[in-house]
Amino acid sequence: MTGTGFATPDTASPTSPAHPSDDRTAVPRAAVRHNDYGSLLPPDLGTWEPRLRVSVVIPAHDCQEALDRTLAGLAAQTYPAHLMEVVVADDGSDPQMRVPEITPANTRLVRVPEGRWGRGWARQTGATAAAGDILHWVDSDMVLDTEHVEAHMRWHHLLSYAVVMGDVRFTPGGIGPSADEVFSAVNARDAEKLFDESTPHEWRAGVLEETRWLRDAGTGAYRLHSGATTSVPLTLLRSVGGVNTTLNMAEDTDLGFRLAQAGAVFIPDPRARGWHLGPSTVMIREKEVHRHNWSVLPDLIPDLRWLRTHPRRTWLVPYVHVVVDARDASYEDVRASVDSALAGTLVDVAVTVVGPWTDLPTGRRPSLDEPLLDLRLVRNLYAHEPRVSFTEEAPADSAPAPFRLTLPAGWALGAESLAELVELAEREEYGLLSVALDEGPSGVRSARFERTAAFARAALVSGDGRRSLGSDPDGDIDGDIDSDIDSDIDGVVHELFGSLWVGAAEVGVTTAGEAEPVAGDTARWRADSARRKREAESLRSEVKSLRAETERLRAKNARLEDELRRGSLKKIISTARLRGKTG
Amino acid sequence: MSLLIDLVRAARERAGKRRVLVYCAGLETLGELEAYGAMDLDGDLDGLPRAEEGAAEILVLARTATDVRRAASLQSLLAMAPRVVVAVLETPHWYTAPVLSPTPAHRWRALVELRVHQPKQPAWVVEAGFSKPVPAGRTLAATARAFGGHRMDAVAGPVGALAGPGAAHWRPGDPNAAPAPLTGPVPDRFGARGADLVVRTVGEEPPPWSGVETTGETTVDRPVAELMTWERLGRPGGGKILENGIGDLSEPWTIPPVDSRSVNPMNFVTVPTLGTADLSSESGRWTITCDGGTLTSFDASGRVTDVDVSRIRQVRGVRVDWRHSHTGPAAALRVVTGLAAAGVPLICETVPRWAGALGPELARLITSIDEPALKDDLEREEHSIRLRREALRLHGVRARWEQLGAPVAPAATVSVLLVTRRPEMVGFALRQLSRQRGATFEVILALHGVPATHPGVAEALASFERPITVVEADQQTVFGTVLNQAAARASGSFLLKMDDDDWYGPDFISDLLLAHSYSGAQVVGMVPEFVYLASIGVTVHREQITEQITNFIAGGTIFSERSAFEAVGGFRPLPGTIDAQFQHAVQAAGGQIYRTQGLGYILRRGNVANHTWREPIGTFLRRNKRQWRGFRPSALMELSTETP
Repeated sequence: MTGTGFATPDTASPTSPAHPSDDRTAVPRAAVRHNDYGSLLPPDLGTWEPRLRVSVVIPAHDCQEALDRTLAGLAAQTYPAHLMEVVVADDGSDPQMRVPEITPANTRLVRVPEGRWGRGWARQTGATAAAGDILHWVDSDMVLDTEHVEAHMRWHHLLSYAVVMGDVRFTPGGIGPSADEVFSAVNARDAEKLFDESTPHEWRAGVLEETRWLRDAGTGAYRLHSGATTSVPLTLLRSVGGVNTTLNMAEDTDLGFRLAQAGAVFIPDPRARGWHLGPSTVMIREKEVHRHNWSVLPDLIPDLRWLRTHPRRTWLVPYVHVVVDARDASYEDVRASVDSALAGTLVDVAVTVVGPWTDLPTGRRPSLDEPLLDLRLVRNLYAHEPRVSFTEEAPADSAPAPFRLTLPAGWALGAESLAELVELAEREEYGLLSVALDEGPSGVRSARFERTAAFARAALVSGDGRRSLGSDPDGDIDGDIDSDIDSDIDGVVHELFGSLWVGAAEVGVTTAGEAEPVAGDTARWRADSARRKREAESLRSEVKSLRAETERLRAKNARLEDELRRGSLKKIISTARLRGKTG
Repeated sequence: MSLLIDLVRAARERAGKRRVLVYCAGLETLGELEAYGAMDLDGDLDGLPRAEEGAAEILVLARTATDVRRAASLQSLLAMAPRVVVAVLETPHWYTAPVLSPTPAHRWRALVELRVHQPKQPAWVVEAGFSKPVPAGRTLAATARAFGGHRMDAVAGPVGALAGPGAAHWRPGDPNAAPAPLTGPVPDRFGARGADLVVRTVGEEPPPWSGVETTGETTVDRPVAELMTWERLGRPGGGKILENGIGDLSEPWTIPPVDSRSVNPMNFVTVPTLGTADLSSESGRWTITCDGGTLTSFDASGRVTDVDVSRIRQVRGVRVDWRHSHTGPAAALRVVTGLAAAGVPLICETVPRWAGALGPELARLITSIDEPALKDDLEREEHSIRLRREALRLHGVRARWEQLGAPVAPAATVSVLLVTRRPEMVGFALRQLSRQRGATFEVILALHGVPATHPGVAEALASFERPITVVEADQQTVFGTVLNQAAARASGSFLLKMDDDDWYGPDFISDLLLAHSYSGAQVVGMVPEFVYLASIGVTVHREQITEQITNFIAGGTIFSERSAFEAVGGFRPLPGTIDAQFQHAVQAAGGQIYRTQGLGYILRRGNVANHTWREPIGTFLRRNKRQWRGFRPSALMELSTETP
């Protein structure tokens, strides 16, 4: 049963003989704003004609009985068999996993390479072997309802960057049904009766409820990403470099985060029903799982801010990636920008300095008079700073860092600038903040604060795959914004995530000359002073709102007095009437 | 109310056995005041003491300043006393003390004591003592003026006479009005007929009017309030009252006007804190409720007061429920027209058949927008502006009397002062002016260092179809002086300084004229709420407070009474900062500057290369309500969104 895979286009696809291969995999370029997939209208189950191929990948380790059940469920799917393959990735099972009798037609078994182990490796081994258009992760202790794969796949036919998540309920555990029972129940559309005591994952259900099923979850939607039953286009998976093979736990959360940075939209489909046999490890040993994962994830996911509270240390993935162009800039200007970026209250930052570093001669040279002296000095200064790196061209993107700031040399960040930019961007989940620095005859010079996910998605939507970054090496003069490609991608980002212009002063960005020195504890008191200023500002607005409140209360008071007056008047009238009657 | 009783008691105590007269306006019931012989100025006036009669003290008690203004139209009926008290129960919180401003005229020389105080918020009391008995009406009229910022109180047009109960509703704020007995005639004035047009409030069978044959004034009969209740209309034959009788409500002229000096868009709130309210009938009266609470209840007459408007400023909109209230259709129409004039965003699904008096456009506007649209602050304000424009123009006092037959007063004339150094902008600037509507104006185009023969200029002038005067000033003349030279050639009663590169909506000039008419300020303008930042291709909508007396308006929107302009000597002979200098001078001279809504104006903040901007671009990016990529004019600009 191994090595079957998909049939070649010549013999397959009786459903779409007219479609050449390109058309077969073509998916409309739909634009989804933030994570609100509400504009997509998936067809009803059983009423549409699928084209895309799906590779179901099941990582497995010493779980033959559970795997038999899972494969039995998969054997009873409504999704066309010729468009589906199953890849079981055996992670060093002893005895080795085997493909049972009841299983989908195209089922293969692959093994994690010798000397490798763990869920990360298992997933990646399965992904490497997958030949479909879409990869559908399924855990080995899952039973999928008959329309489960079809429910996932209808979304992938509408959107090329969808990550679809099935709706999983958990059984209380104990002895599960046999593979035969599973097959016949699923086949008879009656699987529910096998698991009548199952319950949803409480936390997940709460998030779905709060966020209209993730439509309002914004950039945090990836946090629901798990490997239990989730599907993703293979191109998207490969573009983020696949699964992190060093992880045996939390590999799905890490993958979800990186997919989010690549522009993915996360869609939970309640029609993709499935049951997890027994409670998950998280449910049984939540504290221990967290204790473990929270030692791994802070390096990988800068977005989990509560895991990065240390004031000084460095982490693998920076929160903000600052790009400073050293070409045609003085040593002092570059230094002012880089130093200020490293001295802020937001510490998990990395700086890339762009310059023709390979042009720096290595041989004997006059130290004070060499032609690229300023560049040399920059190199000298940051050679051993771990947060600074050097490149010839600005990197195409900053993924998986969620934000990038392109800062023209000679402009310095305030202690809180990065923190404020992040806060501003997060407030409305903007994709782009442009900071107006100064203005010359040729236009406005700006610093650009970009959301990685927004630009990645804009590239997917606009289809040329090109990023705006790097095409404007100075990152500054936008004199004629209509003429270049930047404005196109910026326009798409604006549609998808929104964008905003702010003044330099508002976010504490100044020229190198005006900037406060970054020596000693200044970062702290600069942050203090900035905070006080902000507090004063917010107090001012509080005064304003209190004034409005006073006004409202005054009006209310007047109204009440009026009512009081009328009330007493009524009494007077009625008394008068009474008197009139009696007298 | 107890405040008023206390005032009357105190007056009686002071007067001892001498007579104390009490006049009331806008109080729903006189209540305890009746025991003191209080007379309702909104009631039957034929029984009032004669104006020549005297008293030890006269009190005028009004519910709001709006009611003071209505009473002031009857001021000549009031008797004489050496001591006059005018009390107002409630004023909006932003009103300042109504301090009388006596003129050096002989009639004010008897004033020996003046006290203006607030015995209790939000009431105001004016107490004036004189060395001899004087007509109490003068103090009443002066109090009305004091509430209105001391602008001359008048209704432009010939003298109007008011006869019958509640007739003053037809001409509030006009101390020059001529009160008359129900059957006439209007007392002569300096040997001539006392009025040119008479409005009389009558019952179903009006008594004859005496005097037309001899004096020739026109009379218009309108129904008294009692005739127009639904209960009365519902009786046998009542329908006739509405259909073709005296109660015809098919056209605007059939209902009393809105006192726009008192009920207007001032202090409009652009970002409201409350939800949508309901205007409906509660215990027989029109009431505005929001979230279960009553915000305000309207008088049976349906007249809207400054206090009513102030109480509902924080609501997002008002749904009108037209179902019958026993106060009748006329009261309903008055409430709706009054609220519309104040810019209260009104909505309803349909307008009933009997509401023709709204006028077709107002009826269309009220039904043109639904509640979800009001959720957007900008759309809400656009709706408000459309409503107030129509209501103020159609239902204002002056417009109403013209509809009733008064001769149409000539339109105010405006002279637009347009200075430019850039011949290429002349065409653009004149296009902004070509599309102005609803205003009569001329243009004084001052070419600063540009010859009129410049081809760009000549072409633009050739296609401009309004009166235009071209002034040439040489390069060396400073900007302020060029403007003054332009002003010297202007013939309008208003001067309006506009810029050559900003966008102006088609109602820009008429909106300024409107704001001038209701605000009482000598100088009116707008703030740059909308700015197009050409260098980054972004339109910003800035947080600004509008519709209030202010100390700053944009230089491209300075609209000034000619007399105020001349009083401060025009612009300073400086190359820059002249707008701020002018505004400072006006305020220093005791003038007022009013900032109206800014949706009809977009400031162009161009590239630094073409302009010396004192404000860095960051200034315009602060406190933004909203930003748009590209050129995004408000709907009222009636411009396309193509990048300019």
